[in-house]
Amino acid sequence: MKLRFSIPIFVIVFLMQATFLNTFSIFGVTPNLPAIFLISYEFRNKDNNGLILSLLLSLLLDINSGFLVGVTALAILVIHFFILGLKESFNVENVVVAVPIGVLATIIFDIVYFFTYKFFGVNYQIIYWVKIEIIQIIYNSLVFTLVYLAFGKLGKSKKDRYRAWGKY
Amino acid sequence: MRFVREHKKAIIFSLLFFIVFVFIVVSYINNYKHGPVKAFITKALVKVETPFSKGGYKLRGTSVGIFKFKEISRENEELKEKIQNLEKKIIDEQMSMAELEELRELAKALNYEYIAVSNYYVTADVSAMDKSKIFNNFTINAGKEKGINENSVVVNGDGLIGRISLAENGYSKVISVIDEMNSVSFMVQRDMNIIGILNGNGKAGLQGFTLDAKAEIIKGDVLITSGMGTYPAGIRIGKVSDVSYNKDTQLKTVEVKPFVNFKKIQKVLVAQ
Repeated sequence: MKLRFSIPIFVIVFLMQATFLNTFSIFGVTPNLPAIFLISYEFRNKDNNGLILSLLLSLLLDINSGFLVGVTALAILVIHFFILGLKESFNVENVVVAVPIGVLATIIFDIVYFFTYKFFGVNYQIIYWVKIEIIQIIYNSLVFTLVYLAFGKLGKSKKDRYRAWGKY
Repeated sequence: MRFVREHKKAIIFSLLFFIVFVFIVVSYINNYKHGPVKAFITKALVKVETPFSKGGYKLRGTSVGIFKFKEISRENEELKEKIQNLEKKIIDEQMSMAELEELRELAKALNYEYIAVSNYYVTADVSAMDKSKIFNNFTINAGKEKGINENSVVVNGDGLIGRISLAENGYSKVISVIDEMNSVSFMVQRDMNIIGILNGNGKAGLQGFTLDAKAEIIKGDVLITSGMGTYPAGIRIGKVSDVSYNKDTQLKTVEVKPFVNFKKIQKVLVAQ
């Protein structure tokens, strides 16, 4: 996907995460849009633009609305390399395979986020976190499916040799 | 060089991981302080985020209006009745104000010094919420230019929200009462002799203890701020949801459900 499309998409997604998205919360839980968009982007593209944009924007997000700066970026890094490894072994162009992998990646994101804060001394009850996480998983699955399919329409896969148009 | 070429990905990952970790450690050491770069970035982001936040609030208001029409009609009638009662109270208050003014003049005449309590509040919009669901801390689009200082009290129509942890020009950061780093002294509205301390319980609620282990605090009691510490007296905090006796600490512990819905805050009032 070209930068002139990916930059505004990622910027809007990160802006929405801390603001507008609270309108669509279920029991206070909102979907993890930055992770979902990064994973969908990584599934459909081979470049690192998604990672670079996500890292920079997550630092800005943490500066603005977080306590520790860099925790979101750390989680983004971890899921990037997780996806990189799995992409080689699984056919992520199939939505039936891509959605569970994507949701698993968002769970890893939340685990990294939670345990990083725990490491730095925040007393957040794990049972409460698990309850929130169950709702988060269901919500992320629905949103991820939609975003993944949308990315399929937006950026044609380079792996598809039979498309009539060569460049997009 | 060959080693670097062969292990390029691992080296890049380690480097990025190290840089990010340094960011985390530095921000942890600096706690809530904002240097000039951070302040500039946050100020710019607040300006960009505020319209998104307001848009979301309006959308929520519109959708609630469509789906909960009957409930809103009923609430409207109840509010009309409340307004009538409040108008009567305003008249009584005005008479009390006149008496208070007379007493103040008398105090001046007698050279008696008194501490004036601030009654001035600034309204602000929430521009960004903490996405972690852990702290429920947030950023508001008002700061030092409106007379807001660190430790200014933040409330809304439902009750106590928290205090200002960082005030800069153009924005402020609010730490909510349900954050475990923020404690509040309470008293029971029913019996103001019962006092205690509350802080966050790690489950988006409050827990605490009474100073007197024999205090007759019960489930359903409304708690308000006692005036000791940062928060002035009389601000609603929450309702007691559970009372138990802790044998280890020999204190009566309480679990409290806050009046404020911390997951859906949009407008706040900050005491100057």
